Amino acid sequence: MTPNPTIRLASLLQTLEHVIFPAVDQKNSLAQEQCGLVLGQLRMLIQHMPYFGEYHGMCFADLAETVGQLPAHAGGEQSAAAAEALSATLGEAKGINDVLAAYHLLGRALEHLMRLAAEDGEPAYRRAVDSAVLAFSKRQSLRARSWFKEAGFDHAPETLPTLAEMFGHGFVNLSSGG
Amino acid sequence: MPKIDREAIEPRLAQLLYDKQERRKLGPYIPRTASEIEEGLQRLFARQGINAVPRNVHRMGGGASKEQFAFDLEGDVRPEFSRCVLRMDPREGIIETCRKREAQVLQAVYGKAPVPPILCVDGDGAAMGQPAMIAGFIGGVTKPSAGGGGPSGLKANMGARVSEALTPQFIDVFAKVHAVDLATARLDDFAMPRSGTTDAALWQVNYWTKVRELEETDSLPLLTLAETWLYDHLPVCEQPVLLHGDHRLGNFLFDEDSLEMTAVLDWELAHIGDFHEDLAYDFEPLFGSRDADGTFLVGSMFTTGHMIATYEALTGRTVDPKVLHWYKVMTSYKLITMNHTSSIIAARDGTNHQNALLAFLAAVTAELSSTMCDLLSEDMA
Repeated sequence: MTPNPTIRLASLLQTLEHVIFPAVDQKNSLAQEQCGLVLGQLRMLIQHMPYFGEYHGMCFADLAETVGQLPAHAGGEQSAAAAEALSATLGEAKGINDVLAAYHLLGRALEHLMRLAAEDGEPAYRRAVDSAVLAFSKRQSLRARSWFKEAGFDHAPETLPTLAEMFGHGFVNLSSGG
Repeated sequence: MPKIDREAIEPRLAQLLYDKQERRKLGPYIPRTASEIEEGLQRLFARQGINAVPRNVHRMGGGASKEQFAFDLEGDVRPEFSRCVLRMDPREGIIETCRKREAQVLQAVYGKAPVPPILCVDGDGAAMGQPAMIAGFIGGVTKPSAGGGGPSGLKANMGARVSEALTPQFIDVFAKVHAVDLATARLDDFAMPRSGTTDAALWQVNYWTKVRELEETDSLPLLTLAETWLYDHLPVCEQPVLLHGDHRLGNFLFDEDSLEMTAVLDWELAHIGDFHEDLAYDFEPLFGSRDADGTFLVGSMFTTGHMIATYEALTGRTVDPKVLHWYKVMTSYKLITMNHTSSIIAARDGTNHQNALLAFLAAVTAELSSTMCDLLSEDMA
């Protein structure tokens, strides 16, 4: 069980930063740029390491709750079959240990329903599904922005919680629609 | 309501996507060395009857989608080619584009807008091993030396002096590109959407949806929400024009002393379509910044209102807010798709010269998704 992966990664980071990268040819612009990217990505990974399980679990729980709360199907045969398949996938996904794989399995089934609801779903049903997906996507976007805050792309990083706040202190706005 | 043709994609672009699926089977890509490039250049010049010798070949920095090398050229060439840039495809990248098309569009706008001259094209990579294009080198910077910023010229601080000088040039170039006469431009590898139809919009949604179909590894329901919305609201394009397709901060050079724009770069996403598309691309929040009052500045330089008013005055066109909104959603769709699909696949398979950058850039999907949620909320509220 020891040393834990965070320590192993941190040791790599320190060695790369202080021993290997300074020895890289200063005139090799591609190599120099890659050094900066490797450091940035490793630093983010070290931050993420303690929280991977919780992050993926939080995303899946919200998606599963969103799918579980969709209204009863109304519309044609194609979207009816997709809605039925989505219900079955929800049950299947909840039984998968790999939460990240479960998330994408369930997400793809939801996307299939969205496409077919656009074809033959009753307008009110389609609106309800789309509204639920948009609401979920806003929460997911906020979670992802917080997760990748250190990448430096965010327009308002100061408004986002730290990872410790997001997971350790019950930052409820990110966890579900409730 | 007529059935939408979801397979309608520019033939050359569809071919590139399918060719890429085959090329992927070749496995990881090892970035080329300067000496390998020099040998390839000698082969290329011999094949094309260019009596010149490359010297001082060295890799250039940047370039998330193409490998770029600068070199001197000695021999029987015009002065503008005494120093050149080789722009070459890696095995895979964040976007799949065509060097022949890029060269054609550069030749079409040469003399009308500041762009590099084209020396030659190795369209199928017969000499260089990968498709490539060689252009004359043009000096300049993408942002002020003290402007900071992140990858690919994003988030730079342009400052008041630079902004004041570059703003009219930026918008003027934009209008001139849109004014290129398509009948005489010799854009042989481009397809022309029909005027007064939804072709221009449809081809864009179809193309990026095809990219997802071929290269999406992860689920992102937000993208499918945008996809169905875009198909529901396809706008008519009355008069297709030549578009840059990636017109933004980071894709033009200027002289830091004279503050003259010296070159507009990266024409690989150029195509023929609706002028609103280029405007919407410039209005993407990722490509600008906000001032102290929170007002969005295009390219970190000027407001969207200034851009629209100046563009309308220069071109006589009228910007339709609904069409502009559609293309803002389209821009989000396109940008998220490239970061969420091809970028991740190339990083996964090691088929790019900048795999670490592509994996890092994938994080930008979070910020882009926030913008897309805001845009869709306007319509679904």
